[in-house]
Amino acid sequence: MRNTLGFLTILALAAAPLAAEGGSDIKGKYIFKKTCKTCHAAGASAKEVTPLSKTQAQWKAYFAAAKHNGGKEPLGKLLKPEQVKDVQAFLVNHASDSPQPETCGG
Amino acid sequence: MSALLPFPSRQLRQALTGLIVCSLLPLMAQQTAPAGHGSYTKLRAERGQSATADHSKFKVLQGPFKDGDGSAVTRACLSCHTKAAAQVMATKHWNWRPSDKKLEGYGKSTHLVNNFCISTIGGNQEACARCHAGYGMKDSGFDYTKAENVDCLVCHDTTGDYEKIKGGYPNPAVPLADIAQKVGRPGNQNCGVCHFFGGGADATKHGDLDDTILKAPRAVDVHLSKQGAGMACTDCHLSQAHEIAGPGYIEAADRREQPRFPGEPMSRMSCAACHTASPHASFVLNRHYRKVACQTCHIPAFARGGLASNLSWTWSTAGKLKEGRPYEERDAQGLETYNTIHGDMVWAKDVKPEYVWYDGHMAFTRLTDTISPARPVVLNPLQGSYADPEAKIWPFKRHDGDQPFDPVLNRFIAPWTAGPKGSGAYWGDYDWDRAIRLGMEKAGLPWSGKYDFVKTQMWWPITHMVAPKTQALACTECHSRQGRLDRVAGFYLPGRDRGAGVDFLGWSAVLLTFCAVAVHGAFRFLSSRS
Repeated sequence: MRNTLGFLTILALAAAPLAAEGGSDIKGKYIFKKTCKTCHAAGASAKEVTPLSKTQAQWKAYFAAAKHNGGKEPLGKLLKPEQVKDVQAFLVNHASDSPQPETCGG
Repeated sequence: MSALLPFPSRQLRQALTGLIVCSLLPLMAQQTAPAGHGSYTKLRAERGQSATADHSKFKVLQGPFKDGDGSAVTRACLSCHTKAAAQVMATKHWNWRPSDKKLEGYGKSTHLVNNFCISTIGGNQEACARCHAGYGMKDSGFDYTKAENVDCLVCHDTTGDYEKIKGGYPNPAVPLADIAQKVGRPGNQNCGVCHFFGGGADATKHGDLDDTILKAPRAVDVHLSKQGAGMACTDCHLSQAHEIAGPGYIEAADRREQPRFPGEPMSRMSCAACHTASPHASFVLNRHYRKVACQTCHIPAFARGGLASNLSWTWSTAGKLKEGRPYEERDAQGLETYNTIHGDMVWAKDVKPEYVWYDGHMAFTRLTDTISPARPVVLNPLQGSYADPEAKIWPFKRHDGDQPFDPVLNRFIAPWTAGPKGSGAYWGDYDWDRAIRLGMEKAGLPWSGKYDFVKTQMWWPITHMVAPKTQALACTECHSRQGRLDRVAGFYLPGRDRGAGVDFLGWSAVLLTFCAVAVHGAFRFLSSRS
């Protein structure tokens, strides 16, 4: 019994980061373009951001903090929780040091 | 003497002032003229009001639809529009090939080769299907007869929120029910999602079609600009039963369309269909219509919207890695000069077109055709000459490049380009041997096992982004030495060409005239004194 519990704990611990990254890369790209890019584009109101703007580790750290606008507001204010996960999956998967770096339309 | 001087000099001053004012008048008139009539914007608004159905009221469109399940939406559409899918399935947008039997092997679903991503049939269908008006094209086994595979929304979305992914499916994040409730007639954005992005990115392939058209000022496109006529693509590319008028590998160079009876359908895909064959006030300009396409003078340059178009794509230099990783290089303007997945590239804005005699026919090159690799292979040789009554001088974007071919069979090759690392696709593993072997297997075509690169060239007709008439070419742009038509052969062009004999006779006549006038004047002067 104790062994089983231990095994389950290990399993839960191992699964935790997977759950955090459980978003959909493809959905994330769409949400990133439709939401983030309305401000974070060249010539728009905020600094241009693409997946290449950060490394995978930097994106993970950004989403761990989940703060927008220089830490002033939570990301949850702009996106639903599952959308945050989707965007995270997209940005991490295509970060500057990822196997498939992407600019998302320049 | 001094008393006499002011009189003629004042007259001279007045004459000079008059001359300057007269020459400036048309310029001032043009500056104060209204920017554009915008009549089509009004027309469209009126047409919108005449709709009799509000799609948001239909039960069948309330959803929710499963994420990315475009076919469910199509089934809902077809429950009322019962014949729509059958109509779409007869079109080029669906079949990716012309219906004309004489054009066997043309079309991207068959053996056509281009200068950009080369070919779809070497296993690239799934990636290319992002621009197919259907769902589920993954390989050559796509079912072209299944009505629920028709993608209604890509052309009828009015929200701008619709987006397709691999295989032609909607992105699972797309709000399908919302889009389905707001469907309407196709706008420029619907056409643009594919036709602006041909060749893989904005402005890449065409040179006269890119995303800037949607917000273009009148100076960039007098027709499509909202400040200009405010037209839609579909005002010229009229459709009948979902088949939209378009070149389909044959573009009439001189389509003098006029309806023969009221209500006769026609495409309006020619300037003359609206502007007539003699639109200028000047007889001399109208006479040009016989031999010069309107586009030649009225589109002084392509890629005028601010985005650069691709002029060259060198596949032979693709595949270089930096520290084992693919990379890209950009020039000072931010234009991509090298990318591991493409090779070397050349881009440019505001490019002067090249001019060629063109009668509306191109002979395309297919994967099954034998080529002669000694010279650059022109993938779509243009037909026409001065002697050809159908031919006119047309502006073109010339696109250079190179691509792999089979040096034993002397044929082009369909490599598998789009695929993940480890799959064998070129953009995954950068191994031509594997990508070609797999691609040719998927295409069901023979390959000798060898490959080399051959220089290629493609010609893209320039017909959109028409400039305001003040920017139309001046006479001397062509009628001069080293002018725009310097290399257009087969005829005598005044101002460009000369014959020593004719020149001698002409100048002799001028000289003799002067002599005669001088002698005549001298006699009159002398005789008046006596």
